[in-house]
Amino acid sequence: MLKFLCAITGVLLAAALTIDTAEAKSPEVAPIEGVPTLMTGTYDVAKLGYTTNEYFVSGVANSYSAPQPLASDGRWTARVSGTAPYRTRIVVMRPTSGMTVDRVALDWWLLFTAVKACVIWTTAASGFASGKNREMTMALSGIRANHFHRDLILKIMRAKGAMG
Amino acid sequence: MTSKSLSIDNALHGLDEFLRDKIAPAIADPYVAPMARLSGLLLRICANSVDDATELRVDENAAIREVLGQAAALVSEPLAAQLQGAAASADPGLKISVLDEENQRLRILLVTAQCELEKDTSAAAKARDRTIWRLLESIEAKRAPRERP
Repeated sequence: MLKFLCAITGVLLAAALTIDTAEAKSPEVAPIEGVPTLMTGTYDVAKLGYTTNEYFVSGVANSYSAPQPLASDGRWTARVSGTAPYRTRIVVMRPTSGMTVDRVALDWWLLFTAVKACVIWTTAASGFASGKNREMTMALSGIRANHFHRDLILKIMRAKGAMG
Repeated sequence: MTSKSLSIDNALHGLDEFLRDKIAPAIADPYVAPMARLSGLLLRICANSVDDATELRVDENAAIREVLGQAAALVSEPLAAQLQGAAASADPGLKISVLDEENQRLRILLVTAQCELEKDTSAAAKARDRTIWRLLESIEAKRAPRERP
């Protein structure tokens, strides 16, 4: 039987959360022998070309607090306010082929996803503007999220030295 | 003592506050109440972009025209003539809708010009390309939604 200790930390989720991660440390990872039992479906993933492995992950987790009152616009700042030891387990399913990822090439995918997001937000804005959909979230995502991703595209392009 | 006039942005800020502080708390429906708050936020963003809306668009169109004029010397015909024509043009009016339409026309030319410049490996073309990127960064920063009152 697996025993694990998990330290629950405060988690803040927001559209634009700024987190001070200066004290974050990589966890220790230890493989676990045997085959994990998971409710992942009725099919055998090995037949689909995937290998399943289980690991203990342990370390020191940060908890966070907000130094200022949380504003309604979701633009919050979180600061490390405490730590606690944790130990949990994860199951990793990966292609048996052992194919490695070209991380540099994959990094460009970030740019593509930002462009793709802009298409979604532009469509949302267009839907609201035409009167076909008057949901406030459509209008706001057309304005806020669209700007966020256009700005992100420019930042990625600059970071990659791809601006001429 | 000067009195403050009831401007469009002032009225919109008032509506935002009314929706947020009076209407939304009085709505029991769990879907409609947050929608009322979001409506207030949308009004706030609009309110914060009313005052300098014309100035921002006039300045932006002028900045694009300047870059198009610079790019004209580096591209071939007939695009060069199109860019020169755009560089010499003026805003046809000061209504936001008119300025936005002109802005779209200029931006399409800007994209076309940048595509041509990026095919050119000369130092001059690369310098113009960098100018366009800087302009796009500047435009995005100035057009950022202003959510603070």
